[in-house]
Amino acid sequence: MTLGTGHDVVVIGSGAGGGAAAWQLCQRGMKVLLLEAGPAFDPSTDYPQTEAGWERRGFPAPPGSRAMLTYGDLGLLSPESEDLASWSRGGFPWRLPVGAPRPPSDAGYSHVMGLGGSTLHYVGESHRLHPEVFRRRSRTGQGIDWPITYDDLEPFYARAEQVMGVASDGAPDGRPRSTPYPQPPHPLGPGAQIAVAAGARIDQHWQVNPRAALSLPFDDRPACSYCGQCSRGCPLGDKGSTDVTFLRQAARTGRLTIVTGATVTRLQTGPNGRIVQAHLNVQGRAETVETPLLFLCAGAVQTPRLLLLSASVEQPEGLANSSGQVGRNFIETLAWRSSGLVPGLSGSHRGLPADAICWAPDSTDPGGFRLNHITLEAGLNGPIAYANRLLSGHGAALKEALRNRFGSALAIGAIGELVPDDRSRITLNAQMRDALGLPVARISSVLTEAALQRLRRMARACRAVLAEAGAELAEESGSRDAFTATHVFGTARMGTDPAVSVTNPMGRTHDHPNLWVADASLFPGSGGGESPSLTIMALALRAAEAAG
Amino acid sequence: MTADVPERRRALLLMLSAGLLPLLPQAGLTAGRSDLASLDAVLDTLFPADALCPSATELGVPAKIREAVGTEGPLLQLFTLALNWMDGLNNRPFHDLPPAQQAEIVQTMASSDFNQIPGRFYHIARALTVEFAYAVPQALGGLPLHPAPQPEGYAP
Repeated sequence: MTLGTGHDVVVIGSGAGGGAAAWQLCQRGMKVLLLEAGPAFDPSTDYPQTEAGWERRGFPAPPGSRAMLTYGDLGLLSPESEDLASWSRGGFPWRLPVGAPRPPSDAGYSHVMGLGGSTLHYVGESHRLHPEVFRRRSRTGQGIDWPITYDDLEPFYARAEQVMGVASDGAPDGRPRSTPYPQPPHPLGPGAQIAVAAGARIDQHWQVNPRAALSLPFDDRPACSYCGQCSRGCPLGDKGSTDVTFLRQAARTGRLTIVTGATVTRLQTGPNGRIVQAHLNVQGRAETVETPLLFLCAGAVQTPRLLLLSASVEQPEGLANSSGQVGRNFIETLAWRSSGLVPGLSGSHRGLPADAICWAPDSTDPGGFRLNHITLEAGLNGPIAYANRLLSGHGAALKEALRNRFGSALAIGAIGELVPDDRSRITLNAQMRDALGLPVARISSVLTEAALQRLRRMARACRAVLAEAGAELAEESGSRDAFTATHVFGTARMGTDPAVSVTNPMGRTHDHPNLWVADASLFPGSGGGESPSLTIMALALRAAEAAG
Repeated sequence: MTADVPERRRALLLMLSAGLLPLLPQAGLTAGRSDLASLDAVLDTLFPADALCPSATELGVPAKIREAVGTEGPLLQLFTLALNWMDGLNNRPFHDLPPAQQAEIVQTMASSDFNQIPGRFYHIARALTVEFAYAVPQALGGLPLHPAPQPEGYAP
């Protein structure tokens, strides 16, 4: 295959941003060359949910599907925050000592390199950012304002929801809509029903969580079967990962060429700052492709890494980096979860993961965080998790307790806004190189005292609804003890001032007229706990429409 | 968020095993040795048979644990030391003791200091036993689960 010419645009990455950008560019009649560093996955063989022992498996990680990286400063475990230490009734009676470096979570930065990116193992929450998020600094003095408004993104939110088939009920959530959700809501599972009822008694307003999982067949995809395995890979294709939605539809135009196993190693500039070529390695073979237009959609870690790796004599600090902001303002996921066993609750392993949400659980911290029902998402839908996390003891008593208590777990999760510390950034680690000999990314991310205070409020809100439901707490964990990277943002932020931002408000880099960024790197802030995939898609659709 | 996966605990198990142990010759848990029979016995104490579910040995758990423990490293050292300790508590090895006495020893280990070998061994052996046992469909008796979650699913 000759890759070098014949395309109008190159897209790097195929997750939420790359998939949506490729779709929009193809819709505009452009010939798109999509370069994906990882492999393509086949749901029928890669997510073997028909085999026994499913609870021991995670999303598959074949060679080349995870980026090498290292960690820098993740902060220390302070004595003042010991009240936020993780614990588990059934787990090991052990914790890291005070003063120890905060480690990455077990999963670490586990974003997928593969066709579909991390939408392959995301749960599929499809959230619009609240309008207030875009003017957060003006309203609260925290973080910075976005250079765009909710109204700028609204049509693109609607477009992304239509392509994926997002299911929800349209109940008011402070996010105005021009169109109804394309799919009716999923019924709430038994655990969510308990959370909704308990929340109502303590002024926590819970509602249906918008989900990119089909409640009805759509676009040759079946409805969800409620297997509960979204994050292990959706075997039916009902979840809205980009491989079965945006990219499949884009391929139908005949204008999309996908190359997997294609790692871009360097971008090369030409006259007037334009990017003229991408150098890549395709399964061991060096290639170059022309880049008449380039969309960089590799995520908040690999996007700044490639820009920094592309440093040259003319651009010694890397590409798009005249502001010095590439890699800065990294935002991790500020997360908490509390789990318990609720006497009388049965069947909490049934239903759709993350089926219910509470947008404003704490009136003292409006827009600061949200709660959701995460019993399945937390893995509490199988006997191994029950016996090793929620229940203690052994022998006949443990087996009997498991049979009596299985289906009574209730887990509540919280994700909150995080304003990045100056130390939180992506840099290159020249001492650690990948298989191609290139420096890997180093993640540094430190929680501030304000972040820990918010984490404390998040924990209180989770415990409050569990207590109201009558749960016995059995397990808690959060960001205080471990760096969490489910959602990461902010390393090539958008803005109007080229001195302090990497791209303009559309996503085009200030320094290179044909280089666009369309992923979570653009986010000036994390939002108030909304999952970012739908916003990444909306930003990518908007940028691709403007560029095309 | 992504799901918690027991496999991710493997690194934690190794870390928990290290730092606690003196350096021993690497013996391995091998067929025919007394500690192998005692391993079977302790696993069946942790996970006995009942009317709805076979025991750990009937589910093939010991072989999987021996594979997980491996032929070298801190996890093997922990298991070797713990099983030797258990075999030396009485004038008979652990696997020859009456079930009630075996249960008493395991209960003592359960309540002992996690930073000592008996306590550390108990928690790690328990976690591995649960993980391997409940990965076998025959262990799901009495639980409202299909052997595998697809294609039936669990409608709300």
